[in-house]
Amino acid sequence: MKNSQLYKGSLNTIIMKLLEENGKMYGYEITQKVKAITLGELNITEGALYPALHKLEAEGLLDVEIEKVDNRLRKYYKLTEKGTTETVNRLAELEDFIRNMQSLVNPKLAI
Amino acid sequence: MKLSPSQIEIIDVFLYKNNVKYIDIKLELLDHIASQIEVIMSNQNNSFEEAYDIVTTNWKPRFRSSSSFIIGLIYFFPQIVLDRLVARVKKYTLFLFCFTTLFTIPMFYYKDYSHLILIPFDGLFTRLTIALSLFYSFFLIKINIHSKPTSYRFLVNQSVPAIVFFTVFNIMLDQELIELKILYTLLIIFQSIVVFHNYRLHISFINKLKKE
Repeated sequence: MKNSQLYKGSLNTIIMKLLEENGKMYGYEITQKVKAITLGELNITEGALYPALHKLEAEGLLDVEIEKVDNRLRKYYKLTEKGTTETVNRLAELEDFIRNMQSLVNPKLAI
Repeated sequence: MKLSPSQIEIIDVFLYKNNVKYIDIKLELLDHIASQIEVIMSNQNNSFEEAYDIVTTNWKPRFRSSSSFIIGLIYFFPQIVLDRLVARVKKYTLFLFCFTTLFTIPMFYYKDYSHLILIPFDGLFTRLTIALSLFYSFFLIKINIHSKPTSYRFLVNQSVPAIVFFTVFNIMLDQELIELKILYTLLIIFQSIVVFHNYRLHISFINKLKKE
């Protein structure tokens, strides 16, 4: 992942935001969606994606669905009720963080 | 370009050879690798074999064999599988560690008082331990008969040494060590809750698989 240290802390929130917008998504689709939205700037690797998805699932924020697609089974992730509530909180927290960073990095723009 | 069943089988064998055997993890990695191969074949006009080589080479570091203190140093898994198992038990392990520490210290510090209160319940703790072990054995047998391997099933099976250890010691322990007996009983209770939770997750996943 590009600038991994900066993005790492926000990866879970990015995934939850995407699932909130798209309903259900599978692993590869999430990586491609992030790549497309950021015009190739942010590339989520499998090594970062799956631990994050599995952690969110273990916390009860994500649920899984299985469907047969193109000769194979596909595992879709979607937000649980708890996950939907948590997404709102985490997005608010991320927005605060971005605003504060903006104030620190470029005080003129923040005003 | 969609992959044929025989090409999917090749990816399945690749994952199996790299020790990705739990179906809940394997099916999503298989789908991810297959999707990557399809995109390379479509965009770069590569053959399946060429695309397969490119993709699997990139995946190799994720399958490096590792172990973790939290899961048990005797178990070795590909890193991507280990991360999932750790994610499942990390909170529980930390809770148990904190609980054991916080519970044990005062119990032994005020040993004289706790002894008087607890000794009448000695038989109750032994019976409770045996009942919980039987409860655990029931789910252990049920989950291992005619069932596909999942990471949840591994976590149920992994509890065997701890449950056996706590049960045997609880039956053998003298009344003088009643504090230890209570601690072991509580640990078996926690362990049984976790076992039951993982059992339910395993069954739920297998049912989802059966629908497809």
